[in-house]
Amino acid sequence: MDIPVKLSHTSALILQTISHGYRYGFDIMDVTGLPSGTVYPALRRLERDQLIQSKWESEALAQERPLRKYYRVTRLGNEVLMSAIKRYPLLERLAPETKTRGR
Amino acid sequence: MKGRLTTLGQCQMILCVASWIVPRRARAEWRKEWEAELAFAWQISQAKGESSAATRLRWRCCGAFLDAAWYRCTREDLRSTSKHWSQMPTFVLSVLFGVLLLLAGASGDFPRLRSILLRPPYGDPQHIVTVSRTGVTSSAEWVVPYFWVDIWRRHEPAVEGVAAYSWRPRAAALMISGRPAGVASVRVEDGLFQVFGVRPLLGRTSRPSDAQDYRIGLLLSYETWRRNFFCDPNILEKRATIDGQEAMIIGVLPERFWFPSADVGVWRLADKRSFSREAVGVVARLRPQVSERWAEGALQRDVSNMTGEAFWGSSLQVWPVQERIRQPLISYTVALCITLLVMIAVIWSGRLNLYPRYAGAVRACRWWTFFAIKSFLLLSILLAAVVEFTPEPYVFPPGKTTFVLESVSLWIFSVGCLFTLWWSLVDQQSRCRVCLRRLVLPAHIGGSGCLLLGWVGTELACPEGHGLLHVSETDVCWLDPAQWTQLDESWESLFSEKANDEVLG
Ligand SMILES: [Zn+2]
Repeated sequence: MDIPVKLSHTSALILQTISHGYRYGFDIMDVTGLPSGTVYPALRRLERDQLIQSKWESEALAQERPLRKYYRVTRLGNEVLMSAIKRYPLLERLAPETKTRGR
Repeated sequence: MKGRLTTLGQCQMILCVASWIVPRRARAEWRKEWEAELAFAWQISQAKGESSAATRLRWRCCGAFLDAAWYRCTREDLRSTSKHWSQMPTFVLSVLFGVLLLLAGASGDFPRLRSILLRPPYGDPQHIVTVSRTGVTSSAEWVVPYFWVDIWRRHEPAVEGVAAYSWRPRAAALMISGRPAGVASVRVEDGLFQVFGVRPLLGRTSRPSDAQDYRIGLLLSYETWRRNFFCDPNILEKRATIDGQEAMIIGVLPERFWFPSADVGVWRLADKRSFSREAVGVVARLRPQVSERWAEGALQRDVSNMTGEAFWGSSLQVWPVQERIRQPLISYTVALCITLLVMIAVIWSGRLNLYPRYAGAVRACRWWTFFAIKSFLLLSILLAAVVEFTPEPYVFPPGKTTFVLESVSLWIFSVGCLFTLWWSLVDQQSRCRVCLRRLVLPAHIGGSGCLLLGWVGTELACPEGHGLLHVSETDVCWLDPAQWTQLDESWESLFSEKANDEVLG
């Protein structure tokens, strides 16, 4: 299948980070070391292209702090990520450790 | 602790400022996301007791500006924003105001318009008159032989002063200290400025008695001095030539002084000899208590007695300068009034659906105020453009009728008035009766096949959902105005920005 969306290296890295379970904006910054001015616009673009999807977390998870927005990779996003990994072999090496659920 | 609290406050302030960049509809959610992240990061850093967290958080929050800018600058967003702006009533007013400012810049602050509208700097203007012949066959025959001027100057007690001028201004090449300027010039007698009782801004208005004769004496208009010579205060000492002949600048006239045309930039002083065989224009200053009628008879008698001139069908006319200066203004006003009458007739006939019937007094007031300001700006632009940028006939030759017939600007103004006011009305009709935004989403309704049974036309909607305008396609009769349907608040959700975007794609 032809993948319609071509990702920049940074976007691919962010997409990969999300797929590894780092689903919040600030978490992605911590893991990738990218500044907020890069990460957030990239998240907006990925969401616009339907590669990721955003949702508000549940009240139960947030407890007493404000609700955070999290992102998860869509099926199309996974396909695009696979083809991006083929294009950028270095991505695999940059991949963060998969995050364990919780926190 | 206090310092750390300030860091959180600072970060929140940064986010608050950045949020103003985000389009309104996405702003709340955008801010909620950023503030939640900030609160979480703040909690963690406090729990860990990190000292570098404050700076890091501040930097992260500064990145919010780039995120906000992304929202604002997406192309689709820009397109829809500009569309929204152009629908607003303030958009039209700002564009019109901008055009007016542009015209002001291009013309140099409307010099011609100001010369018509504002009082010229003549001393006791009510006593200054022009003397011309009436009842002549050609409009160029209003001038009188120069020797008549001499007769009046010597024998007529009714006039305090009288002066001649060559009535047709002509283009002249003026050069002062190597700086050239092309201006309209007119030859006048020394005494003309005394007749007008005008005080010069610089220098004097008559040639000094000890001046060398061979140089031509020149007086500059304020506009020429300002525009071509940048208000040079030492201009009187500079070397000057006019059409290659040596000249001396003896003075600069005050702002708004003009005669016999607003275009004249330089007056050349000329003596009796150069006028002696010419027909000239005449200005005179009447003595107080002498009426124009009385002066006409007296001047005519003088000429008949001295030369035997019979005046047959023609006669002399003494006409106050003030009245002649106001003549273009009167003509423009008459043209405007005629157009307004036509427009009022159109509105009265009900051809256009203009009156906000469903609106309260405040809305009706807003509606008509907007219409008035828009029309006023349009007419001002038109008037400024035609007066400043079309060739003007010389007001001081013939009379009213010639001005009305020969003035290009008056004709353009009259036709332009009709068009601009018509546009203003049509624009008004296609606006929401509540918020004054331009109506959008034109939808064709009905089939032309069922004209007799159903209604065929276009329906327009207010982008905010205040109402619908139905414009019929084929008028069943001439008096078939567009219909406005007010929508109540229950319709609002249909017209929310989201729904709107979906429709507009
Ligand atoms: Zn409206």
